[in-house]
Amino acid sequence: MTRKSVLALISMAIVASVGCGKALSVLAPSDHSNSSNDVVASVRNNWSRYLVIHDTGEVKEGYRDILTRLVQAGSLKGVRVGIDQTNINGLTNGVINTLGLDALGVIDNLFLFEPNIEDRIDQIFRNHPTIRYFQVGNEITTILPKSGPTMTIEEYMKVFKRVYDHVQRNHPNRAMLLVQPAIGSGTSGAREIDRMIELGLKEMSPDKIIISFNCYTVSASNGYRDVLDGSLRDYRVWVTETGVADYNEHISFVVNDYARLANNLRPERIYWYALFVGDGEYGWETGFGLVRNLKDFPRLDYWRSPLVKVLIGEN
Amino acid sequence: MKKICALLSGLILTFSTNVYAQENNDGSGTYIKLGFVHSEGSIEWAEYVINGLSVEVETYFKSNRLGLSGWSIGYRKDNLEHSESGHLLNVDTFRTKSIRVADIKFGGGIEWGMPSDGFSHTRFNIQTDSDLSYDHVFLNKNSNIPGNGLKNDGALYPFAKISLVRRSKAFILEAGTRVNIMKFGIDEYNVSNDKLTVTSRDRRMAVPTVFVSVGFGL
Repeated sequence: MTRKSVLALISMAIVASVGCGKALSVLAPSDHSNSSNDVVASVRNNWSRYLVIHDTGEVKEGYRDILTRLVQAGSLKGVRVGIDQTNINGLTNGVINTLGLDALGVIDNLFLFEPNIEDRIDQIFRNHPTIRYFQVGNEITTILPKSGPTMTIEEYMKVFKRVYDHVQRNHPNRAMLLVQPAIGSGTSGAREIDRMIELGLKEMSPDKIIISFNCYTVSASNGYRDVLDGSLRDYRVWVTETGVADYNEHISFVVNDYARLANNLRPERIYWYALFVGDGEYGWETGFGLVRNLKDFPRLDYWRSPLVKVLIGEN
Repeated sequence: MKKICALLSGLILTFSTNVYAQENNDGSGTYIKLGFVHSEGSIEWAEYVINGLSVEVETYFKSNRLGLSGWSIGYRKDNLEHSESGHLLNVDTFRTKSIRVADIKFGGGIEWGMPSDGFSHTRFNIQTDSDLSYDHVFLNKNSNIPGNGLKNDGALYPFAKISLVRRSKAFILEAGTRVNIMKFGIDEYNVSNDKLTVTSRDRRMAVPTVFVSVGFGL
């Protein structure tokens, strides 16, 4: 075998492998150069009609306009809203109910430190009669300031069990509970779910709880996938936050990463984080927002990201 | 897949008459090989396409030992676009038999590691306000990856392979097919007014892969 022959052979193998990759990859580079109609079709095909909104009582007119547009375009079915002291007596944003949106209420982390969490649950159920899905806490082991109060996953599971037992005993069939979504780099979030299983997560009925994840990278979904395909095979899954902090990448994230999240995690819903994340006051997080400058609406029109333009059919 | 197999076999046979200039009188030798791997097919309704690159160290005995001609150890990276998964180690033994233009090589071994997510698929069938139906297919995990801290995040499975090999002391060229014996989970989910019904089953399947590799004698 001569060196010339070997070099020719290696060249052929490289050409063949590159060619195969282009022809066979699910998301080959040629896909990205599709016409705008194809991109719109891909976004609409992969988009899950759910997103996170902040129900702080601000920018109501802006919310009313963009949420109405999204619903009318068939791009929105439900929203995730936080329930804290601001809106403990009812959602401040009436448009959520008037549009018939399916609301997922996130019971604020600080409520979970209260000695009588059962009373707080009763109050929330009473004041939010249209909400059926409640997420009990959010990223509680990682999001709270170190200055306190903080909660370990062991402490959280004690609280979640109390909430679960209280709801099954006193409000049967009133609500579905979502466990707080773990988050973390690498496999730390998945390890937290494993720990929750050790602490009794599987003693709770798959008809009564839903497993939730905040998952911003497909790499993190690999760890979650292994837990879901193993111990939690019989449970429902929702991705309660995902997105990317650069509006120029919003569309490609939906086209590429939504598809992989769906295949890896089988989520029934994927919530985009978030519709509106301020106009810059929250730093880099602003980039997740689908709209900006809502505060001046209707005096001035608001900014819309390329993704939301596709979702409302505005091209 | 059949076309690719034919192409690879043709490649070996075509090149063999030209490139096998140096007769290999002594059967022993150790080689390092680089290869391209392609797998394509479907797990019931879920189609998959996985491409990867491999590196192997392969040793041929001077004469057969316990009926075996040699053994190899290798690493394969599937799905090159993503670094977090698709890392696999394998070890196998083989026997070769000389035919006119090449050696036919058949053997088997085991593979272990973090497979790519190419086998995970979800398909939604019904999505209404009150009813939801979807199917999910995935590769069953049966092994732990050290250091990750997760349970069953790795896969261990046997494989068999058959190939055509041409080699001299300095170079080696091989192409063939490998069949992995893998176990898949095939689940059906139905949610009606928040009542969940899950039908889960496992199915062991033969997953064919084609490969071509070239290498150098050490």
